[in-house]
Amino acid sequence: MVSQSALGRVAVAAQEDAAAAAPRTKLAVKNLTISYGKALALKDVSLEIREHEIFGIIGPANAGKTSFLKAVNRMDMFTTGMRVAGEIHFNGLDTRHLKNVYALRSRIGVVFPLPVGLPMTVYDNVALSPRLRGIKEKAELDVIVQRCLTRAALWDEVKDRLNALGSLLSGGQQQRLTIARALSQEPDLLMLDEFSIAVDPVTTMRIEDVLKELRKEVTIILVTNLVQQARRLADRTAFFLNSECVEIGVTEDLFTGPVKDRRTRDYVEGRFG
Amino acid sequence: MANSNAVPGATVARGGAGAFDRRDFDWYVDKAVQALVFLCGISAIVFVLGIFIFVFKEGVGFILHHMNVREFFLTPYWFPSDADAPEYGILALMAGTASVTGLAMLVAVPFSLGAAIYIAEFASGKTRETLKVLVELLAAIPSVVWGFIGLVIMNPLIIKWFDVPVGLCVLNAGIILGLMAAPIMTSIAEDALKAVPDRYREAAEAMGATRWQVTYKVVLPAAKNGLLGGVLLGVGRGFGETMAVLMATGHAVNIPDSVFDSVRALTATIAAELGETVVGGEHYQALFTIGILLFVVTFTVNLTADLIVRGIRKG
Repeated sequence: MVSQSALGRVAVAAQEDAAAAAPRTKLAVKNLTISYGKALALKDVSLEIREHEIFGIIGPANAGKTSFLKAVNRMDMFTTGMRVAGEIHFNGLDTRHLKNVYALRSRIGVVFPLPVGLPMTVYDNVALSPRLRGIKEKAELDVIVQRCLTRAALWDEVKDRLNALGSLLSGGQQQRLTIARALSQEPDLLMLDEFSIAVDPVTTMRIEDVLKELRKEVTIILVTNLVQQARRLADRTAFFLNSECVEIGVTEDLFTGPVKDRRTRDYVEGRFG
Repeated sequence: MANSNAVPGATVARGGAGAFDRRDFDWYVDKAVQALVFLCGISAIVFVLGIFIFVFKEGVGFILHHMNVREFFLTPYWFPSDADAPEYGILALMAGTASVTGLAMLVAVPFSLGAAIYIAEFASGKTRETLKVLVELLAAIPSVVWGFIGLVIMNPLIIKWFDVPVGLCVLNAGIILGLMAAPIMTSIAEDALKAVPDRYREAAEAMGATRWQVTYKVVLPAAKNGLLGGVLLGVGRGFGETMAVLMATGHAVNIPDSVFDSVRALTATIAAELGETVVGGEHYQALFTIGILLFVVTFTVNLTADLIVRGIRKG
């Protein structure tokens, strides 16, 4: 754990000197093109995500949003036929040419659209990542598990059944369990892929509050189908459409600013799709 | 109506109201096929029952009239052809079967588990497909060929390496039987691992777990029932195997002190002696009693394995 987080912090510290006042870049993407065989999933996308911001990505299905996330944490390694071209720099490190992608992934938390409670107890689900980092002490794990479950707005519901199977929780609970698990990684970057699909509106609001809190500690990429969710949460937002990044801007500008691209305004106002 | 006039027979094929009362060719074919596959399906039950009744009928005379339960199970003296006072103690035979099966599992379990993990979790594409085919091919090697390998290859090797007088022993048979059972166990274990949904692997991988960590922390625990079922089926296979064991054990009635002792298995005893007995005689019936014992044990083991494997499907 020490070595991995130290690695991240060293990179952060290096950048600290370079740009003292300006917001630091957490993730720099240059000319990213992703394809599956002949089908193009993402075409020549370049963008920068700053530290401690919530960066929204909106767009209809098949716009390339999920492929983008997969490329960032190098899940492309295990997706057959997925080809990635271009550059992705995370904390200034080129992620396309890493010797240890596992260390990279452990610094990036991912929440999938469909909840995945691993077939082990609730406790073990959340303790898995700390254990992989080498934390063995029960007391320390207890603290981490409680903190992460509390932050994911799940603690009150499961505190009496931490030994129940994670895969047997309800859909909404499993989704929050997934979020708790991502938090247990103590990630540098948290990527949420349409997390609210399986969660009720009240819980969604609670999780959104948590995300606002978390911004102080981590950078968040929020992929969402809900345009209003992006508006509520994201500092800046990118609009993906048909494998293309149409527009990137301060979120509110996409809604009310001067129109840069007609398609964006049409989409956020619900006039097509 | 104009159409049906233009195409003669169309009314007959499509049917007016009358066609609903008429059983046509397709209807009879359907019934015939149903009856046929029903017979095939039911025959499995009929055969198992039939075999059990036959074996039981042949052995029951011994159980009722000659068998001394204590002597049968607890003495190691198997002298069925002694004209004056034949002795029927199967303790040594059970020890032979148990020791060979036990050693076989020690060989087969790690081997097949490792192979299954490699095929299911690490190998990809062509390698995986090729390995799967090869493993299934291995499972099809006749047991007499394995026995031959034990006799001709393993025997001199064991004599040479361990400096023992005879190489037909528990070690030889255990290794042979282990290698025999491994392909089937690999195949079942691989199925069990593949039954674990990929989304679990992806979720764990996304957290930065390595392939081995994913396998060890997520996949193996999730597949443990299927894996256990596979092991039990392997045990059943080891218990029931005859020819290879007959050839590789040395076939000596003996409670083994070490893996270099020759032993004799329950199955091999039946195979070797049944041809020389008087049908319906005491010896003949005693062999069938051993058959009943084997039947009960393998049936129990297989049933348990099956129940365990089914257990995961529900959970």
